[in-house]
Amino acid sequence: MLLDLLFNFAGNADFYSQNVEPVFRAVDEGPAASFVKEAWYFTPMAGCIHLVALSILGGAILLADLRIVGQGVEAKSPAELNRKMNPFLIWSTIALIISGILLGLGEVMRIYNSPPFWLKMAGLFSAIVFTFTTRDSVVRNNGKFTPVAIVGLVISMAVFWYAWIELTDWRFAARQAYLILIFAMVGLVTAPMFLPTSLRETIKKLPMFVSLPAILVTFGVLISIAFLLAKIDYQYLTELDLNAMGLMAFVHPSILGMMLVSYIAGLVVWIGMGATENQPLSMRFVSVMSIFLWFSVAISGRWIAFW
Amino acid sequence: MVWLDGQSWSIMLRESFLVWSALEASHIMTLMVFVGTIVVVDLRLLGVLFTKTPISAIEKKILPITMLGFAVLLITGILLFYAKPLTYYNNMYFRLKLIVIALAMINIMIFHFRVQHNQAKWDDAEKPPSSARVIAAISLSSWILVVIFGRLIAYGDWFHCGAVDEGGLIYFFNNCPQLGGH
Repeated sequence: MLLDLLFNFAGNADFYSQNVEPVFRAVDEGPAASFVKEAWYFTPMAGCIHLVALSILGGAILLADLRIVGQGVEAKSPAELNRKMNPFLIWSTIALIISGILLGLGEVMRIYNSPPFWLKMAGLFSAIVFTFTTRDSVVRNNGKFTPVAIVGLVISMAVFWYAWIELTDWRFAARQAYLILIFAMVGLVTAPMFLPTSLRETIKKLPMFVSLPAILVTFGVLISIAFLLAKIDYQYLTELDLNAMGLMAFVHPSILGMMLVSYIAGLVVWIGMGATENQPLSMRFVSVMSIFLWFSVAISGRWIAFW
Repeated sequence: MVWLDGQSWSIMLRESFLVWSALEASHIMTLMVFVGTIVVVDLRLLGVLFTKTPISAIEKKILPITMLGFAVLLITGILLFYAKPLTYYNNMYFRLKLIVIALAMINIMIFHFRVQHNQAKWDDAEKPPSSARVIAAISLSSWILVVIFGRLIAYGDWFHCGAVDEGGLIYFFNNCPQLGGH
């Protein structure tokens, strides 16, 4: 049942053309969309509110999550900081949704036909479910996964990854690469824990302009290799010309998007190196996932303009 | 600007589909990092948020992230400008954005060299002195304006030369005298 629903929403073209498209068309021809299209000032204003809300949301997420990972206001406990940031998170999300609807009303059929829009919607849904169930619960319970946290995790991850995979034209490779990515992300967050303390401190003591780029590049390269391996596998299986894309393989949207995300993961690892013992692993994992989900919403949102 | 616009790398960058979109996405992501964190620091200086936490504790942990965000924002911003120099140079909102960034920078200098020198005295204060609060209010408004003007760059045609009064402020900011009113 759930899989059918996911399939219909994420990848069934007939379902969209028969059920969803008429709704979008009706909205596009309705009075609200006409008003927004005719009022020349409406879209730019909604765009400004959307971006300001996104910035505030970024700050709220980063402040609460980086505290758990290691770089945050230590005078507050993670749970207390999370509570403090919640109003910012909730209100900026509400502003984001309302301004997003107003923006969407100006170009209803264009966003209906835009893959990044659906990616953004899947990401937004997943980010909201994950943040307000899994992350909240794990942080409140000091790292313990409650049933609510597990249900939230399963729903958000299933929707997010299924949408990503179905909406890329590069499905087989995407499935492999995203699986590798999940493992890589868990590895990235846990890796410093297995390093000897002396080594961690040595890395952290290196000048920022040496240690930070080195870590970011390492993770960027690792994830690019994962994608390229998946790509080669895909090309082999579908009998495509292996060299057809050449260097272009590096600028495939999936690779680019995931490289951006890998840089965030690298940054989070670098930041968290000094605080590996402070918080339970599960808490650090949900924090990184939360940063990842919200930032991927921002990326796909920006890409609506290009696809 | 015309020379810059004709450079082969500039042409490649603006005509690339994927690199351009990656640059744009990076710019937006780092905007979230930079503006999001600076808002927190400003709200503490205004005495609104984290009032029981010393200001230095917040600055020590948050400002490195803010500065990192600003560095990436600057790099991606320069690359975006390099790709379309003429478009941005002639855009009123881009010019306004640069002016507000300059004002925000001056504000940071004033805070650093004039207001912050006796921070030890008010570091724990729930409500910092009025000089610090004024600086924070200016900073907060400036960066929000930067975000707004940045967004409005995409709506450059909103006030195009043919639609505004000749000789007015908007006419000047749109570089209309050089463009011959078009």
